[in-house]
Amino acid sequence: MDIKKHIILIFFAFTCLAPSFGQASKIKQALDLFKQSKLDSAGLIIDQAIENEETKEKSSTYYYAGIIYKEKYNKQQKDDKASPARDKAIEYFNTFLKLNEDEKLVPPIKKSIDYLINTIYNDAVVLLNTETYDQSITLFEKYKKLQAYADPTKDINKINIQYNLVLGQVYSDLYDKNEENKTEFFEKTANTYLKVLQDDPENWGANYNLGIHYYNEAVNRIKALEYDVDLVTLDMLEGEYIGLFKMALPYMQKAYQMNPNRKETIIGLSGIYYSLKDYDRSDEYTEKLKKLEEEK
Amino acid sequence: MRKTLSYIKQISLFVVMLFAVLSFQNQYDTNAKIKSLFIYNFAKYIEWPSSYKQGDFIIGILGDHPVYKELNNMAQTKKVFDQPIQVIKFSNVNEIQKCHMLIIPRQMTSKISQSKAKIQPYNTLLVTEKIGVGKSSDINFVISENKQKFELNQNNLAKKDLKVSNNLVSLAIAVK
Repeated sequence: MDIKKHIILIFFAFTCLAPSFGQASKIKQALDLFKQSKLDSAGLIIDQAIENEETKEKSSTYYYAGIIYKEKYNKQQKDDKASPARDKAIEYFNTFLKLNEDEKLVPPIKKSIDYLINTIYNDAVVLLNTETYDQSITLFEKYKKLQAYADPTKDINKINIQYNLVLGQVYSDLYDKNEENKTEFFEKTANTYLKVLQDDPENWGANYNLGIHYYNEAVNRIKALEYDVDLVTLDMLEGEYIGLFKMALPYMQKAYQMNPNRKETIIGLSGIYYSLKDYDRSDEYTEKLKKLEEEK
Repeated sequence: MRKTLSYIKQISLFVVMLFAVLSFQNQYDTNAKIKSLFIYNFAKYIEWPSSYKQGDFIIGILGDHPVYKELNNMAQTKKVFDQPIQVIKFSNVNEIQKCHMLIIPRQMTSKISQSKAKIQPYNTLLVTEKIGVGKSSDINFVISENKQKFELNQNNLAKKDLKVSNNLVSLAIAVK
């Protein structure tokens, strides 16, 4: 929203709300500064109005504060993923909605809140990579909390699933690249996909990726085995590897049931059964793969 | 507001594009690695006659077996006591020569009798991997509850003057 629209809205609101407060010098001062695009000063003054005994209970104070801080975010902090101005704008708009009795002003403010919350979501998505995933998670949690508050009826389950699918992949990349914290990222990857499956047991991607994840962990551990390992230790370790292959199996089976014509799942099942030394079943899936490739 | 919605649309698409399936390490033969570790332990816990304690420790494999690659990897860094490991692939029974150990893969089980005849003059440990051949083999790989196990025929080993450590015997499934 450009500044002209803001000003029109502000004067409209000011006209509507003016009778509801008496001591308005701080607010007027803040609005003057806002009109001059002096957003830092406008913010400082409106904050003082919020602290002021006379104006802090007035909904209009929060209305103007929200608008000033929203503009500050748009003009100065758009690239700051942890923008304090955005947080303040949402907080003030929410307080306005709590105090306000004029229904006419509710829809535009709700739109503004929606807009700001969506920028938080977008920032969370942009930061969802192996470098900045921690910031992304913080923002996404904030987004969910704010969204639930702004509109408790909105179903964010789908977004949550989609986010966790990508987060699982980010953790998996870190697991592949990171030798020092492999165990940590192994657990994080698995737990993230399990979270997706809790919300959506029929999710093909989470089933397949979890199957692969457990399988790859077993393979990595076998690859890393020292040649000098004695047979007693090997027997114990092999038990652990078999445990992981068995953990992989139901997820890969589920992915296969959901989509029997996907090559990846057939290769996956063949590999898991091979590692479980069930050669007949492994061969069965190898044959299925051949047939599928011939049909194509 | 239209501006905001279009921005979200772009990001959502970004999410979809970012999601992909994880890569599967199917090129790696896990069972070959496990078996190669067993084979190395057999080499360490069985004692060959003194004339076999010089030169390379030779492991022969009849035909193709994924363990060939693993054993070759192992041979680059490991020895059987002081003996460097040499892994030889015999394409057919006629190629079989004197070796410390001869591995007959599952798919070559039908060649056990002929192979035994070829190694008869030597003190060669015969290693097979087919259920039910334990009696005609020295060591036979078997599977129990998805795990790699082995049968050991002490009588056959004794006939070849191969001394087995009690440690190895205690882990084996005895063949009587």
